[in-house]
Amino acid sequence: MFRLIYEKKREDGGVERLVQEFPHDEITIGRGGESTVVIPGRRLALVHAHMMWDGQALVVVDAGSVAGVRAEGRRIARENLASGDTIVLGDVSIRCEYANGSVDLICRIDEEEKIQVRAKDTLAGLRVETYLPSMRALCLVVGLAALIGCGLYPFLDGDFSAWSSGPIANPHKLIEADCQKCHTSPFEQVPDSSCLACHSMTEHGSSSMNQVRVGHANSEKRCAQCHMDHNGTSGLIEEDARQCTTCHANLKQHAKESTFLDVSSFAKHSQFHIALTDSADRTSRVPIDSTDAIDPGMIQLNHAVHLEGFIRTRTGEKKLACNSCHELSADFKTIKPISFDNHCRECHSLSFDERDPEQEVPHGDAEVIFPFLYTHYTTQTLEKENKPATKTSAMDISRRIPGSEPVALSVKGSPQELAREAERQLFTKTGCALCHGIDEKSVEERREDNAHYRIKPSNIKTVWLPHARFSHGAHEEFTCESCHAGVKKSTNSGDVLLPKVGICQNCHADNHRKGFVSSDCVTCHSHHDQQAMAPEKKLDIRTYIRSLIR
Amino acid sequence: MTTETFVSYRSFRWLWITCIALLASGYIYWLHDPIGGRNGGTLVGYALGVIATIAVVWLMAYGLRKRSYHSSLGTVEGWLSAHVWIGLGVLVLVPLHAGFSFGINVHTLAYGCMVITILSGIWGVANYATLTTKITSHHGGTKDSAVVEQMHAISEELDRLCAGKSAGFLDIFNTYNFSFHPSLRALLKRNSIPAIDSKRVQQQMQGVSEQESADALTMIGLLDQRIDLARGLLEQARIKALLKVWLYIHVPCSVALCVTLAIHILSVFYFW
Repeated sequence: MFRLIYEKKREDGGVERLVQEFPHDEITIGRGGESTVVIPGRRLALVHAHMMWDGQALVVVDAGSVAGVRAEGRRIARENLASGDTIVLGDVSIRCEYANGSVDLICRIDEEEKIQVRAKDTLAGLRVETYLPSMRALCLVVGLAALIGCGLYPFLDGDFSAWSSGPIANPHKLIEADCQKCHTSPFEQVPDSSCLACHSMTEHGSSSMNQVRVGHANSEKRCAQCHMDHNGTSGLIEEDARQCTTCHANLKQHAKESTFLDVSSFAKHSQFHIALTDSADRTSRVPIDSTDAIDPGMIQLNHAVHLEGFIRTRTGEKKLACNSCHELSADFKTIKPISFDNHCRECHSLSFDERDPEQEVPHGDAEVIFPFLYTHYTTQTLEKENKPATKTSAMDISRRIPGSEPVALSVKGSPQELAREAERQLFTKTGCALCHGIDEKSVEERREDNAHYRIKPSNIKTVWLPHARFSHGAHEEFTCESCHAGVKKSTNSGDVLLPKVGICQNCHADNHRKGFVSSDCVTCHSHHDQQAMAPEKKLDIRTYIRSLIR
Repeated sequence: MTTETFVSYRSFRWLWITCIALLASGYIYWLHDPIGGRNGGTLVGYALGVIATIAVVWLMAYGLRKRSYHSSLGTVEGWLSAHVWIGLGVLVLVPLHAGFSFGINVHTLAYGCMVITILSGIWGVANYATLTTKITSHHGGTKDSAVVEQMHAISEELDRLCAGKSAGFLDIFNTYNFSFHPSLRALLKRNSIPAIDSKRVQQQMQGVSEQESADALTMIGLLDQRIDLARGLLEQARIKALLKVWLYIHVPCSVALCVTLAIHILSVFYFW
């Protein structure tokens, strides 16, 4: 039988003895609960040593502990112990005394304070926290650094570029550093007034940016909803048909009074409509493939004749092409207006006097023709009075093929009469009458010294599709006839020779269709023209979310 | 039978939830083709941003929940599982919110903090998965403090043994003696204390007199015992360090993430 006598130092310096009996012949000693004798030594293993008592001898065996079993300073693996021997198990010393078949184990835990203090220091060196700053301090420093660097510094420095949500568009690079130029008030969306502060270029014509298309004036959209910045360095005009087709695909839902046809994509674009104005100055929109589509121009022109074979000109025969008359403007975008001096005079003479075929009446103002003719014949008459008498005659320059010789006119009379006759010839048979529509003035309107004829306005249309733009220069690789089909066969000046939408759809398509030139609504149309924009619109958050959902 | 861990909690419940949420988000992202391109300012961008912000708040709330011992709001293991899987999910969710547009600005900085936080979290999870089982097998359950005390006791015994000994004896002692003052580097490095080289010891023993040979063998035994104890301690310390050191990246970065996220939201609406 074993008896454990555990001697524990009290705070007052005395010793407290705790006694526990174990009715076994073999015991295990350790710190863990699985040992028979449990001693709370710090350096004890859970099972530190075995001890056997056969009634005669006491044997101790090391159970493979770290601290080992020591007797008289030596480490022992197995040893017979005499009564009174002391063994040391880590920080526990046990004196063994036996007599009368009972073994007393008088146990004491050594307070090796010096070793404990050193051990405490060493253990601190094994903790990673010893080498690192306090977690709270680290979090505080990192959090404050982020707050000051990213949150407060921009306000102190005035440079908010770190807050920019993306690259600013190239046109706005000049004002990139001045966020308040556009973002006038914190937590409010960019108002239209910010855009109009710079983009109110009314002197630049009808397409100025402070005007929007009719029907859009009351739109709730702000400028920045279509022109989104911080979205890349390219321009601010988003080439996406949905900007328009959101409403225009089903326009009646959004504007009941609208007369425009629905357009959901360029592939489903309606036929082009030309704007025609009637005598009451009412404008109507007529599809160019309808029979009502008639060129309102008053110039009688036969395209087929002009483009067929060679034409006699003052300088010889010449083959005309489309660009002989329809010249590209300097910016290669539009066609220059037709002018008599530049495009007609080379073939079409305005001469009226056979004896002086180089003399031509001026072009442009019918009212000056008669005074010109009168002056001409008066001068001739005065010159003649100083010469031998000959007959004064006006030339009968009847309607003739340009370049052919005039036929002599057998009219005699005063300069007034000769001038009137020449005027009549020009306005009814020759020069003017060849191309222009002529009205003869009423008797009440006629005076002795004014013109007796009036030229109808030529009414040559320069803009057929006022709501669209087109660049001829961008299409210069193509022949004119590729798009303006039927020009060479057109004999009627009322023919509208514009290309139909199908011609454009052969090459252009939206939605980045493969094999086609990508063309969205804004390729041809503009949102800005015609009507002044409504005053600044501010949206509340509810309206904004609704617009996003829409 | 495999043991359920916080990773595989309830048959990977949070992995499934995260995957389904990500697939749904990805599908909505793919479906939504706004004018001007996908970005954080579109309807879907705002929606995904709100979800990601709620997710971040939830991830941060784990720090509070694990300290609330009396809370009955789910189990800490469940919260940790959600923390791990949802944390991985926001790594993908945030780019969907931003339309994969990044730049040198506070918005991308917030995402950068998030990436570092999540990567350090992955390192932590990997450490927990591979290292925790190694801690329990240390020296038959003897406490570290007891091992250190034992080392010091051996050191004192070695000091006694070496007193008045010859130069040959002390040569062996000096070769394998070490000052046990670990550094952070030694803590994170494997086997920083060399073991006894038996061939070299045999050579060194030839320089020891016969009278001192018995003590020399005792000394070598004690040195070997001390080296073994020290290496065991350092290995345990290394494992414990690895289980903690990732937190020194994870926690401060998550604080930086919270601050930069707040500034991101503020800046977006300040310059709306």
